[in-house]
Amino acid sequence: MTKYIKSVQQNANGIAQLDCLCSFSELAKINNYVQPIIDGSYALDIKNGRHPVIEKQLPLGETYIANDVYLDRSTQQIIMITGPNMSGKSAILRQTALIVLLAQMGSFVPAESAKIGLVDKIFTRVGASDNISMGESTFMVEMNETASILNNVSDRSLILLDEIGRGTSTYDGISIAWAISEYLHEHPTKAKTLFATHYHELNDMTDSFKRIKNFNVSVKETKNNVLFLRKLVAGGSHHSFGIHVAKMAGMPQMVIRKANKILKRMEKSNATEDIKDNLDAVQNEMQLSIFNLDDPILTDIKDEILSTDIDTLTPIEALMKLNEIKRMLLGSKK
Amino acid sequence: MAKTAQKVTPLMKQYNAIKGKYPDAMLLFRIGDFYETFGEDAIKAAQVLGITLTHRNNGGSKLELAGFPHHSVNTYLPKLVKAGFRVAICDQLEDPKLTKGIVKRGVTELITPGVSLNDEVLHSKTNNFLCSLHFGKTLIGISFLDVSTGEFLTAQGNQEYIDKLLQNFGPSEILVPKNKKQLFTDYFGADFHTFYLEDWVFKADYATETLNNHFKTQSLKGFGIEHLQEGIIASGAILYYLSETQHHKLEHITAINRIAENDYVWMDRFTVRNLELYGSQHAQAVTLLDVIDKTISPMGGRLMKRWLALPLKNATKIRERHQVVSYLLEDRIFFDKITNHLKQIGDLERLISKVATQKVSPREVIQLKNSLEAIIPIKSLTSACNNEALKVIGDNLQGCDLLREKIKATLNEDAPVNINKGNAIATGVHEALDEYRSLAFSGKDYLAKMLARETEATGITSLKIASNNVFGYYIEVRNTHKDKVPENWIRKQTLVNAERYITEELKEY
Repeated sequence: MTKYIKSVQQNANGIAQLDCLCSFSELAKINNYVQPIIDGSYALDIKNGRHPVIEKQLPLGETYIANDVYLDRSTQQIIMITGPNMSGKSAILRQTALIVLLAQMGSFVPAESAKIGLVDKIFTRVGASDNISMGESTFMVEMNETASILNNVSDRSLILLDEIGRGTSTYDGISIAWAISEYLHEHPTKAKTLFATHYHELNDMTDSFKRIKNFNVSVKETKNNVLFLRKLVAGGSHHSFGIHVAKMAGMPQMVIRKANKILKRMEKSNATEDIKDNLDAVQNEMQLSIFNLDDPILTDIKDEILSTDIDTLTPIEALMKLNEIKRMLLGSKK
Repeated sequence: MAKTAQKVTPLMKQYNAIKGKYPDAMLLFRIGDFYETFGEDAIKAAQVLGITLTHRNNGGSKLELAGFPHHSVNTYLPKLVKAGFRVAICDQLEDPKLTKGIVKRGVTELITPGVSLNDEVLHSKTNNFLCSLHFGKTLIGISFLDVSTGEFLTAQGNQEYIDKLLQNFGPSEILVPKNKKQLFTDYFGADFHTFYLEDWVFKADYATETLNNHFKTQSLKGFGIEHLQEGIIASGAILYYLSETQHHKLEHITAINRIAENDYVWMDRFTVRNLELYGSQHAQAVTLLDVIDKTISPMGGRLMKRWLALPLKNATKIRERHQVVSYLLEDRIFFDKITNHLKQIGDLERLISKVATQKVSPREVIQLKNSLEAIIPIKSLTSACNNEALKVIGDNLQGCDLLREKIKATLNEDAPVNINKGNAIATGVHEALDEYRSLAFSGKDYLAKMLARETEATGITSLKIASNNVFGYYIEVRNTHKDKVPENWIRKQTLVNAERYITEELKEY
């Protein structure tokens, strides 16, 4: 019988392939998937895509809200998705990756139509993924994971960043998220990126970077409540609705009332405007420094930059350097 | 122990000698109808298996002891392996009836999480990979082997790539050189089940030689892996480990394949985890694999997982798959026919591996035959359809006619799982066997015929033929018919209402 081992193994392989392909077609039939178009372009165009797993988990009677996603290297390279917590930002990110993945496995995909330029690497990062057992701080892990993307990115990569920068304070978080997005935008690979964040300050990036586009997951605001529509629409958003979510989660009324008060006061003092101004200021100062080198501190900065060996610098080190330079500047103001 | 002049029984001497060879394994020691464990092993086994821990009270020693009957090894063994133990099975190598003194014993199998053919340990829809790593100067070599299916893969790359592969294949056991213990945990974490091998196993010459010997080849060029120095070393170490664990029948491992780095979409560890493709930190989470896997056969299930872990980058190949899927969607009659036949097919890969390792049961051979039979209509269906890719699959399927004929002719259709139960071999295969069988089974016919004949001859309607241990077969006559008994019957026993006789004919029988 041992003579037949090879042919039986060959049969097993053939049957396995046939079985998988039958499985794909069964899947397509049951769940209403369509045949994706795979080509050598760099564009990703998904019409009414759905999340294959979540759509199966919905309670009876509810339908999954399908969404369009379009990405390419020339006009819409980075999409900033803002929207309140719980609105389905992460689902949109993941469904995009899963649709690409399914398509390149050879399966049909959960969408109305999908045109996919081949993707060779998929990166997903989620902010503040707890890893306490490993003894590393969440933020360190987050930065570690992000660094490995920035080091490995290619022109056919698909990058999904979910709330990167969440693991630290708001200002740090926004700064890091801003810097990473800028890096990806300026990087020669122009890798397609979806960035979900609730820092709506990042919406301002579209002013300076032309391939970054703002989208938000729409909500309908009623008097004191929000209705999640889970539909991705163009444009930024301005609230996080975190307090609404807290209310929905059953937080005591006292806490909610207090939170609302604090929010009002902070909005009045225009804390967000400050951040925006600060960020703009950072941008401006960087540009100015090239022309205004009389200032001794700016000279210091110039030397600092010139002495930096960019080739050996990791993105994180670059960020830290940036922070150092910022501190030098802030020090000078005092 | 020796100082206190405690007498060690010959049995324990033998146990200690064997245990000495496998210090890191749990030794199941066959004594009569039981597998016993002693000492530390017994304590652990009792805990894991929930069996009673007792003490062996021989010669004043208080050694712990726990055991279970040999026929329940299939229920207990998987529990031990799943608990992460390496289990050495030590059997009696001689027939105790034929030897004087102590029976020779030896380890016949070493079962570890990564090396197992036991159906209870394996999940039918996942591969059970044993992995080995070799840390080269710049690159890391890696090798995966599933003994239960005969798949053997190798690759080499940097730390990130190896990390990704480990994530993709999810090996149940990883072999690491002893001196790289620390490096391994630094790179890949402590979550894997590892086993440390001596450093000398990881040598290029040794590995190449081992591989060439196994495949009976002159060089490894034919497999397209000869440039993967580090990968070869890792692969050699795996084969070494298999021979160490008493797996010598490995003819089903027919080839070693390269995992081509550039053919597949790169997804690193974080991504695979985040997207919840086929595993999740949350126990109840539904993974993508759960949703999309509609495969029917175990081989299909395993391949589906592989396809999910390694999506393609080649547009032509992807489109080819899409075309088949759409063909199958359009022609539902064809699809139904194919899937109906697929349902008849068992786990071909694992069945044939059992054949190679000589662990196959008669019933499994029948399953193999039936599975192969179901392939015939699939082959003719796919070869006749008008989709190129499907045709290729169909053309590559083998009829295996001779093999099927042979099994059909040799084995009974309802052959038992255990060959000792008998009736495995079909009639007409072996003359002597047929004769024994006819004697064994036609005996009753013979007696019935005799009974009918005697009833007619004597006119006694209530004759009975039965047997007991004292004088074998006898004829029983009720007292009412006593007078009709022929003279040549010999009376053997008198009961209250009957008498028992034997005849010359019965005596002979």
